[in-house]
Amino acid sequence: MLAELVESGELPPVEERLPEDPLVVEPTEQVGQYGGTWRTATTGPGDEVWLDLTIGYEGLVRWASDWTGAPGDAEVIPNIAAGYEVSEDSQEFTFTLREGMRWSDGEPFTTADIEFAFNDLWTDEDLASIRGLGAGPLMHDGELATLQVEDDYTFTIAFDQPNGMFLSSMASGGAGANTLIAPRHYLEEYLPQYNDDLDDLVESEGYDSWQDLLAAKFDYNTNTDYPVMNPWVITEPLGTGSRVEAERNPYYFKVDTAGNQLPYLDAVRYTVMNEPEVMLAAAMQGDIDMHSRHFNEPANKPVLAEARAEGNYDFFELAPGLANELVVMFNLTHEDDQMREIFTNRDFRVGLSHAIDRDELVNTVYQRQGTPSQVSPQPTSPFYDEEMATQYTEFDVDLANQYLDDAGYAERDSEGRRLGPDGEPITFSVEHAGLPGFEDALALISDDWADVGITMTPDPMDRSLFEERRRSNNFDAVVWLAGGGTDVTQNPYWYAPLSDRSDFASLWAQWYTTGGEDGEEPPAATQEQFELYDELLRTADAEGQQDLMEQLLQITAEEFYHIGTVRPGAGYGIVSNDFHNVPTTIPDSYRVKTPALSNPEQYYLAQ
Amino acid sequence: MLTFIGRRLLYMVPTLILISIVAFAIIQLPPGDYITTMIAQMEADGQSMDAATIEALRDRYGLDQPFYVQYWTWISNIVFHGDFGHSFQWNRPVGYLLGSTLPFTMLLTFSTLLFTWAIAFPIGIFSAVKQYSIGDYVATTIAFLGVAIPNFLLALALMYIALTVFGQPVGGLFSDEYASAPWSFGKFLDLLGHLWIPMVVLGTAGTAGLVRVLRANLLDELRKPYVVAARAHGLTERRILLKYPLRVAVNPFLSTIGWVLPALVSGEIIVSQVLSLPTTGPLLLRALRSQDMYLAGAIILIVSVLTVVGTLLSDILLARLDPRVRLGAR
Repeated sequence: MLAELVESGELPPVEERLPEDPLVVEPTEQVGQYGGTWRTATTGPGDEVWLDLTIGYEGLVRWASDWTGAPGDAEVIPNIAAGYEVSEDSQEFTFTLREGMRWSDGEPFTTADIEFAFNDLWTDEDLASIRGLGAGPLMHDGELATLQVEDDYTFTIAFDQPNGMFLSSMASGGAGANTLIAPRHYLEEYLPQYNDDLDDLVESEGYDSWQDLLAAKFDYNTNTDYPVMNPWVITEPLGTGSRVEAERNPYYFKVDTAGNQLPYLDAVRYTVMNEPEVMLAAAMQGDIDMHSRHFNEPANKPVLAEARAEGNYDFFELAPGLANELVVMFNLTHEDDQMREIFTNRDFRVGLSHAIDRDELVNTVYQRQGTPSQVSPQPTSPFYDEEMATQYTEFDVDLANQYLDDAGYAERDSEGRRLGPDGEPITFSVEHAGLPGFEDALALISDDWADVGITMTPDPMDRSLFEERRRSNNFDAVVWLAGGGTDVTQNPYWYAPLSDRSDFASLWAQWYTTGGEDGEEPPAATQEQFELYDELLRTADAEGQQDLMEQLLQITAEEFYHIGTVRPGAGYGIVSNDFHNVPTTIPDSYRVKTPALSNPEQYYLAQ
Repeated sequence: MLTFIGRRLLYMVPTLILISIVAFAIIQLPPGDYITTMIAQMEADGQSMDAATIEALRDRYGLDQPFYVQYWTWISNIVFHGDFGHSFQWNRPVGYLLGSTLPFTMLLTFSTLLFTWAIAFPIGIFSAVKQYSIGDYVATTIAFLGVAIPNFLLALALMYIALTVFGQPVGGLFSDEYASAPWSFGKFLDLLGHLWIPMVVLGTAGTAGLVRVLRANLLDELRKPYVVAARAHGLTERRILLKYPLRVAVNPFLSTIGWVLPALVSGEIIVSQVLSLPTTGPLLLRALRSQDMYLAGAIILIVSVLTVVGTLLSDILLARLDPRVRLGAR
């Protein structure tokens, strides 16, 4: 495809387009063939993530494709950076860029771009609202990192404190843009410090402010002029059209083991289909080459399996990254003292955990996929602890009643309902946003709990409303999917109230995130978890991180904040039989950009 | 007639102001705003957003301002600058988004309308004149089915047939090879090849409804004494039918012309969504779902304005055609 352009002189020959030391990607199966289009689908705006996850993952460093979530930096590998060095005290990180590396428009990529990205984009608070920006990994212990540029290809990022998570959060990248990767030569024009006539430009482009204009120009999904480092460059933008198309980046900096420039595939085409059901039909018909989003739910697997021969595709496995399919989070910092007293009673939670028939949930709601479990790391994770995963998961009504009696709610009314401290029956509602399986699972759990004298009403609602109520601490209990099954150290919110995602104790989380200014002071054990995690962030070596996280998890198991139900089994994606180099198993987590960590640039179509 | 029109035009001003306020208010009624939708979406993917960023976003989009300030900014920009604002979700001017979907929406609605009338008129007349004939029964049965079957179900069924029998790809208005190609005869044919599904789906219910209305009205008229009188004067059946009863029976067609105007812009939402058509319907649905209020507000406002204008137009047409309406208005 590019040979003609080279011949006509429009494009320099490949040796001049590649950096001096291109990144060598080992193909999953074998060296592939050039050509072809990867046909996939998107639901359009609001689904930018699928573009990020397929063609938008090119950071300074990245995750190795056989990622397991081990602590430390062993699984972080160089990407745009040719290499990196970490100082003894884990405070300074020195990166080397590749000489001769170029943006997709042919301009060189040097530390000038990094310097610009650091000073003018990522650390500018006014721009934090733009998708992809915000200090994120460059912030540590409340202090911003400093950047020191040594020459065109070497720079150092330094922190005041040892930083144990910097490389891994850089590897996880951001949404919509990879941290510190931005083309200076293109974007300068849209920043007031470089362009005195910016106001006129904002006016003529029809925007209200230069920030809005910058946001539009910075977006590689909708702006086809934006130079990228990605394997494919978007030529038909995400917008009102019926598809998004990306063509190969002639300056892409990676080669295969035979020295061929990647990517193999000429183009990626995302057909816009508003409804996942329509996408499912397209997949069954064989109109999709490789896909692992939107329709890959357990419920759709049988239908897809049946149409495999006709649609000429097969499944690949997604190694589960979730810690639980459904976690019931009681509001331990409930505004109402009465309810808080009940929910913070550990025996009450243990009793209710024993009352849930998890095997029934697995069989009826989750198509016999998954294992009864509390919220816990996956067995493949180095943090797995069987005791933590299985405690109180045994279905035992007598034991459940015993615990609830011990909790102090032995008295019942004439209908057998247990009475709370105020002498009234204990009733509460569990709010949820109607994610797949929630409704059915909660109906079963509600019956199970009624059998031990506790009245629970599932309360489904629109996701926005759910979000509002959750954030205003205005609920009895909620359910959600629990993350942190494999990305344990990076996603600890499910094991301790460390962020506003920790719905089981949002006021404690607030206390932590605001440094004790807002929220409520949590019990000593929880505070110890905070200290452990802070320590972990300052610890660079893998063993140290492992040790601290294990201690933190131990406290989680003892505190038993929330009730887990089912640990998910493997997920799946579909891949055409003509489409090669897709691994049979890909780790599944947003944090590692599934499937981008399996190197889509080396996927190929048999010609 | 002129005072009639003038008075109607005057009434339209307060109506439109009220509509614009209600439209803007309704979009804001659901809990949360665009940012909450955005956060919810990110969380479903396992991402999170810190409080400072949320604050910055609300500030950038002006969502923390009181209702009347937001409304005034919105409406004054529309009235004084013709600027419908920016869509949050698409990060593009609303005007641009409408500009790229409106032509297809109008094409679809217009061709559907022609299809509907071309079929409904003859069938309606036929089944009234030949009441209780086999043809009437067939037409009536089909008409009832058309009214009873929800459009989206018909769309799904046709899609299934197109897929299994003709092997035509699902949804859209163009095949892959023409999607981004410049206009050509081939592309036009390709468009026609795709257009028939939504046209038939959307047309069926409309056709069925019109057939029933026309038949009922015509039957009423055909039994009236003036028809008998005309026949006694020796006029031909054809002339009697076309000149008098049909003219009265056609009223419902004209009074629904007013609804055609807004439909040209809004299109059919559910069918377009199912068939993944690049029309304004799915655009509106998505905007409402994500509380992308300037986009949703613009579409609702335009549709409302066109409804008001359309109603005026059909009233004028009716007044021209039917002296009773004209005299009643006086």
